[in-house]
Amino acid sequence: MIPGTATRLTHLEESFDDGLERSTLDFRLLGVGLRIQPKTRNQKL
Amino acid sequence: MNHTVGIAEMKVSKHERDVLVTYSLGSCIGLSLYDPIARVGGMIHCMLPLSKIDPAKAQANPSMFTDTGIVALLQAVFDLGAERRNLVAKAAGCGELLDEKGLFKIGERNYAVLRKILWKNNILISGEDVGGSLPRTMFLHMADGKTVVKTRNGEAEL
Repeated sequence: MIPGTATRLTHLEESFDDGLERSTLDFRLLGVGLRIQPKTRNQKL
Repeated sequence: MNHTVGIAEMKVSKHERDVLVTYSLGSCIGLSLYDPIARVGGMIHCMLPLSKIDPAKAQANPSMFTDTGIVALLQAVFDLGAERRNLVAKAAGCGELLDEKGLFKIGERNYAVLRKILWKNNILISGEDVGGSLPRTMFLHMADGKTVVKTRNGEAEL
C-alpha cells in the first residue's frame, strides 16, 4: 500500500452480485480469504 | 460555516469552523472521514454502488458511485494532509426507502462496496447508522470530528 494514495477495487473485487460472492464477502472482509467449494460425488477427497 | 454536500458530491475541509452536512440519505451512502491530528476531513454522498454501469458518468463525477467516490474522497483528504493511520471513518444511509420488495438492494450493495474499499485501504468503520427505512441527515464538525446523524426520530452522535 502506497502512503498517501487511495487504492481502488480490482474488477474481480467489484463483482459481488452472485450468491457465492455475497456469501464469502464477510470472510474476505475478515481477512480469512477462504472460499469453501462444494464437493461433487465423484471428486476424491 | 455550514457547507452542504449535495447528492453525488463530496467536500473536504481543514477549517475548524466548518460543518459539512449532507441531507436526504436514503439508499445513498454518506461517509465522513476525519484525521484528528491534522484536523482534516471530508464527506461524500454516493448514490449507486458500482461505476461499471456507466463509466462515462463516473469519469465526469466520481462521487456518484461508491467505488469511485470513496477512492476520490480518500485521495482528497490525503492530499490535504490526512494520514491513513489517523483516519476515523463514519457511515450513514444505505436504507431501503423506495424498494419495499428488495429488488435492487441499492443500500445493501452500497454498504458492501463501502466496506470492501475501506478494508482494502486499511481503514475500519468507527461508527455507523445504516439500513432501515428513514431518511437521514449527516453532519461532520471539523473542530473535533464529531459526526451526528439526524432522523425524524431524533439525533445521535456516531
